[in-house]
Amino acid sequence: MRRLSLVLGLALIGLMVAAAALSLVWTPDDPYLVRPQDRFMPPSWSHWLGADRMGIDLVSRLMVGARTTLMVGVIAVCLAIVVGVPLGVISGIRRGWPSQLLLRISDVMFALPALLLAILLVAVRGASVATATWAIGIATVPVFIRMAHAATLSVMAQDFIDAARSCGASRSAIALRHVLPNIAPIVGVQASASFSTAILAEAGLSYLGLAAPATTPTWGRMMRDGQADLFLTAWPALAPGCAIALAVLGFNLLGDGLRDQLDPRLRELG
Amino acid sequence: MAVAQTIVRRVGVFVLSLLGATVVVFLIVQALPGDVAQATLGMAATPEQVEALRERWGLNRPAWARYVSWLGGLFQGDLGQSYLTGQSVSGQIGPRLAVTCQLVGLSMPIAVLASVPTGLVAAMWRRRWQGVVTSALSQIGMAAPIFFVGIVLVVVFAVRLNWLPANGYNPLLGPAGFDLAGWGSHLVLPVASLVIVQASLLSRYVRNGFVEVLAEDYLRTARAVGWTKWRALVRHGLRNAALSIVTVIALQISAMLVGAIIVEQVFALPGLGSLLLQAVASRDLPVVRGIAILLVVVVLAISLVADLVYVLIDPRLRSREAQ
Repeated sequence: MRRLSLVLGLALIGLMVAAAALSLVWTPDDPYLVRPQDRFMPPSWSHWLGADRMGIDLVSRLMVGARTTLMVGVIAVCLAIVVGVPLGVISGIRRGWPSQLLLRISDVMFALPALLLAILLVAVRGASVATATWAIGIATVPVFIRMAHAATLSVMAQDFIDAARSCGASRSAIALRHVLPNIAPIVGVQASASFSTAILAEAGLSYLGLAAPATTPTWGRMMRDGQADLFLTAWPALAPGCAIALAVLGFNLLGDGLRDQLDPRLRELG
Repeated sequence: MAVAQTIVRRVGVFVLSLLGATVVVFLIVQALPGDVAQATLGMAATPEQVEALRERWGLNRPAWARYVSWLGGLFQGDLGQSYLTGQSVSGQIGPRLAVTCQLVGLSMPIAVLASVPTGLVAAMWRRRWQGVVTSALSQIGMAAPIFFVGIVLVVVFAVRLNWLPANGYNPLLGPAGFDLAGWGSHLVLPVASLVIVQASLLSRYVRNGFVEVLAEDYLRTARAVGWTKWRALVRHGLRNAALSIVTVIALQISAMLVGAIIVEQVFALPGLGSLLLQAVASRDLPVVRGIAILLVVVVLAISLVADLVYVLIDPRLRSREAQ
């Protein structure tokens, strides 16, 4: 039963990655080809999920859109981990005033939602996928600082750290050999959770028209365009919405599953 | 005594965070490359015109001086003037804020009220179909982006059933007088979208709050003295669940505001979010900055209140502070 969320999560993510990878070499139809005669066509053998207002095949566009979603998520979360985890670990090991200052700053940044930060950056730099990715990544950094800091504190309280210290291990050796391996699983769980937040943020920005230009197929943008024609057909708006929800569900379930594997005591919760 | 100290320290952190937030917001908006005045007037403008506009917007002064005067204005409730209309930013925000407040103010209590029974059901029967179904529904509600929820509601209730308007806003006291039906019918779907997303998340934490209590010794004791499982869980679990709710509300308030911004876009409501997006589109930086700082103040203030409420609900925290 508990393995179910891990398996289901991995299956959903696998499906998404496979669709994105496949779109590099093959899509059912040309994702940019306008076919006026297929405008608003309901699902059929030629268009499995129907066609949008331009007569473009929805399945093909969804597959290409998965690439943007994955790319933004991977870059933003990696950025947050690469910046946030070392800062969190260092501030957990060296508890001087610079660490306190860092934690306070990350608290302030934490009050700034990813989407608001992205809107601010877009106001200054103009709308693009790169700006959106940067904004989501920067907004996720404090999450990893806090998490890594708290996890490092609990590792540092363990006896084996005292043992390592009395053997003469330096601070950096403790950080690399003892702290990082011990907090790595928690970082993994957090990365999975942050990935779903990043997907939602990117979709939200695209939906608001603040990320990709209209020509680039992204799931959020497709919903924005589809909403204008809701009274004619719901498919172009609902299909990408389902794709976003399934992707987020996949990463949420993966995070839950990983956490259960990590800490059996948490299995009751969940 | 200890409580007072905690409160004073927490308020101090709040004030410092607030100052920090003003710096962050100012710096981001300040990082604009190029010349705003030139960009606004276009290439045909003479250097004298550009210079006059720079003078009028105060762009000739050094950044720190502009920050100080902006901060000074903030304390007096003055957010500056819009580049676009020349109107005061606070005057523009006022009526928009009213709409957003109605949206969030209606959704939040409903979401909390909805999350307690669903969380209780999910905890009580967590191995039976009732609990599994409730948990699965809350997973789906958490995964669906809020604009997807909104669009599904529009498809069902506006397009198919034609019961409610698909978008738009109708003030309670409009030109046609007091219009409760018009006001309500336009707010049902936006509020429902926010409630569905927020209640899904909240009910998960409420459920965990109840499940934690299920494992406690005092619950076994309560059962042993003859309380029913329901009575024991409600009597002992509610306070624990309340802690979860306060924590999550504090963590989720920023998500809630962001959700409101998006929902306003889905339903074309004239709230803070749509003003913000208009200002972004026209690069009206004082308006963007004003709304951003307002949202951050709200987030920080709510987390302050949540921390204080936390101390009041949880006696353990009080004694820990005293030690």
